[in-house]
Amino acid sequence: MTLVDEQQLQTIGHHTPRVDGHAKVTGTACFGADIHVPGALHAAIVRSRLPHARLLAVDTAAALEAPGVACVLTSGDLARVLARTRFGPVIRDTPVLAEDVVRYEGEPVAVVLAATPQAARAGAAAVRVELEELPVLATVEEALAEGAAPLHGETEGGEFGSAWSSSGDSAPNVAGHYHDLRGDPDGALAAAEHVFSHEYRLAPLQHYALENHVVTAVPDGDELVVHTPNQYPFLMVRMLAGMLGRPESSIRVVVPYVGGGFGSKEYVNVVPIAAACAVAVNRPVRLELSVEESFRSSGRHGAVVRFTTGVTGGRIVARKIELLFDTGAYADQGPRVIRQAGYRAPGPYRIPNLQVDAYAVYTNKVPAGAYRGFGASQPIHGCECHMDEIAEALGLDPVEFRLDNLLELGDDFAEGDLPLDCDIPTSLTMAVERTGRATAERLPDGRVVGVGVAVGVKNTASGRLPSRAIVRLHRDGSATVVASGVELGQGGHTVMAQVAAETLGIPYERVRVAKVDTGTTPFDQRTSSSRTTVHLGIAVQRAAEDVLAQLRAVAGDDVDAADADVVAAAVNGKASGLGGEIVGVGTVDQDAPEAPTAFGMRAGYWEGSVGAARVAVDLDTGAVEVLQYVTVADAGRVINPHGAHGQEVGGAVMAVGHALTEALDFDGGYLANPSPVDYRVPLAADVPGVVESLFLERGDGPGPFGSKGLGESSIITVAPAIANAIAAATGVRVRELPIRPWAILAPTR
Amino acid sequence: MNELSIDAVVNGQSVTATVPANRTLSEFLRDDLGLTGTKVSCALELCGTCTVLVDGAPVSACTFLAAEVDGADVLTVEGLARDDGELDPLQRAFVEHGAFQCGFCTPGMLLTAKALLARDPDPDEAAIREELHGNICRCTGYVPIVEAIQAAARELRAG
Repeated sequence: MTLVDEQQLQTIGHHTPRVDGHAKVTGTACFGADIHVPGALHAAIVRSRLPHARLLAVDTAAALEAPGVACVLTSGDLARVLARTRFGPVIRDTPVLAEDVVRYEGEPVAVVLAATPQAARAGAAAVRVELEELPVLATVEEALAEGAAPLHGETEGGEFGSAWSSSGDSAPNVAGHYHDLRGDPDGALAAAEHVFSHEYRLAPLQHYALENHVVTAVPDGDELVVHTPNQYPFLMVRMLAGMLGRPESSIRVVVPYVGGGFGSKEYVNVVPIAAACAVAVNRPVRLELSVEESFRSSGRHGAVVRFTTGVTGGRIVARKIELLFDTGAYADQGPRVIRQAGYRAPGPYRIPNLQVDAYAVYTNKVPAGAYRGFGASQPIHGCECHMDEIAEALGLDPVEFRLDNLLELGDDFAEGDLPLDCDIPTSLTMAVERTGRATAERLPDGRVVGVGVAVGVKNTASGRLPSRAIVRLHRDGSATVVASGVELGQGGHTVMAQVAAETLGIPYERVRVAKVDTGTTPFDQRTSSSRTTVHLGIAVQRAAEDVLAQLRAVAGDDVDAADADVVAAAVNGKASGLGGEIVGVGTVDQDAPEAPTAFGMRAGYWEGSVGAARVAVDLDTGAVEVLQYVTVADAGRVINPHGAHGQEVGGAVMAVGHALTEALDFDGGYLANPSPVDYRVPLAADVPGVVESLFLERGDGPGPFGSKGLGESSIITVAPAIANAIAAATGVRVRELPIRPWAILAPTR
Repeated sequence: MNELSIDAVVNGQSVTATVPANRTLSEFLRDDLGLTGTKVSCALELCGTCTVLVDGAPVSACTFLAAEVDGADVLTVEGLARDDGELDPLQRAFVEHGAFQCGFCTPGMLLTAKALLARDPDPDEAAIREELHGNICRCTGYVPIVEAIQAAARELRAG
């Protein structure tokens, strides 16, 4: 691939302020909660107080007497307007409102609609729900135990197609099973010089996007317009059309600025609830959750991950992996998450003999779904702690042990998939050059210091998901990008404007990006999987090239869009046929997605993740301070330096919370900490003293100008790098996340 | 419900209103005055998203009662830029340094920083991080926010 001469690029790779910058610092940026529709009824959800129970009755009499309450809706009321009362991306197992059984604490049972949010909440508090307690399956072990009662009966496939399982088994409470077998792992383990087995446990997590879930659903003639911050607007259209028995053209999902996603704003139940209520009463309905309710909506899978590795002569000869993911009461994206987890679990190493089994397991907890990293973080944590434990047992340097076993640029991660297009060994070397490898050094204040590293790869944008974009070049030489990439904060709109400006040769400031509205902006598969820069970016680039081709066909091959007079003359010329503006269309089609691997789809590119942490541990208190964190991303080409560093640094700091403080604490099926009071995310003072993000840029990514996506790169390896640094500093290996001070102290006392 | 009257200055404009005694300042600003730049997240006085200044001091508008601003001067994110539209040095620095991604915490961050710089024109990094203790950002990792506040402080000191 030819490297573009950086000198020639006007905006790509240069410091370019965000397109949404002015709106976001002046308070004019419109978020979901800022949308007010006259005449809207406000919704409040009545939730189950038990994690598992038979739903006997819903007594609405007192609520209906409460001031301002218009009505109370239950599953029976919604069933009258719904063609389908259940939804789910992979398995259609989730009732819009609970039917005969509730399966987690906080499951929506009824909705109160009222004139004000306050009246709706007061009404919801007055609804009496009669429940008969059922046995609770609180852990994956309980759910998989012999004789455990199945939480679900018959279910059907969802928006992503049928329930996904590569093994064909149908154990009760298994929502998905991924299985991979390469070579003869049992034989190779039996013959190996050394065999190591370790188990790690990771707590379930919350995304904790600051913006709570909010939906305003507006019946408007034969249209239903749904305003909501959502990463999957077109899948919402498909889901709602199926649920309501209406054509997709009658559903519009309009996406304002999103106040943080991280995977939370995908298949969450608020969209079906608000839409069904609005249709049931034929009035606009606004549903805004509290922070506690947002905690009870989705999260990251808690997991048990088990690794067994055979090593001969310092080389990995075999590995067996078992992953148990707690997907909660409903499958949500769980079956897709474990499939990705299973595929990524071995790590970027040469492993001749391999077995992986990954399970998504139903329990009576809040459903877990997509979370930044999408199934990579949990197994990579296990893999990378396991690698350090092996190195220590064999007396090897953990960096050298990795370098001896790592796949290199161009190697096959799995035969038939895209060869690795990220350079992990070089990235790792870059990271440890910054942190040094010194271990068990002591600070003047007595704290011990250690360095830890971790590496991983994530097959990303697999199957090259379709995107479409329109670029409109106006007669004055300004342009509008019309596309359905959601601005979550990741800077997707800024990248699209940069790609359009660079391709058209017009100043970046002359490009605007239209708001996502599925009624007018063209199809994009979804805003996830670090794919917007790559897939939507190519679509925008092609649309801009289409504009240029049309302009040149009329005005000559040597013109460009930067000359507004040329553009005006071209679109106004009688013979041009351009009709007042030039409209270019760019398309990225699904492209040869199948691969002969257990995962089954070919990666769009590989998102490498490499981190190195230097931590200081106070041996009196167990307090951990991350002194320095270095993350390296193999980015192809950086489109926007601030945006790229922002993704890397922001993801790293988020995962410092995953490593040290964040956990959804369940007591049986009861969530004990559904708020930021007791769910401790990183605050400004918790951030490592130095966070460095480094990039490898070879200009060889599949995206525009040789770019790749990097929204999930840094987050994957932070927790294992910190765990390994703590072990290097203290000699204590904590096999649980988060790593609490008392867990570090316990073995030393 | 008791109703109370408010006579206050909001972003330089005189405002009179009658509100229920339990009306929060965030409800008053967002729903009654249409100033939706102030965001609400936890409603527990913890995350700092709803921070506005009342007589120059940061408060959590999610739990602060609207009636308490009677006689006070209230500043929200909408009042930071000058009347001619020129941005406050903090706003400019936040854009220049990439100090936000989703932007949901940004109004509260800006007002917390505004109060800090009014009190301490030359805060060091530790002082800024300490001041930001009550403002959560989930996107940026705080690093560019600290840089932006330092840059704005330099600009303000240089006059």
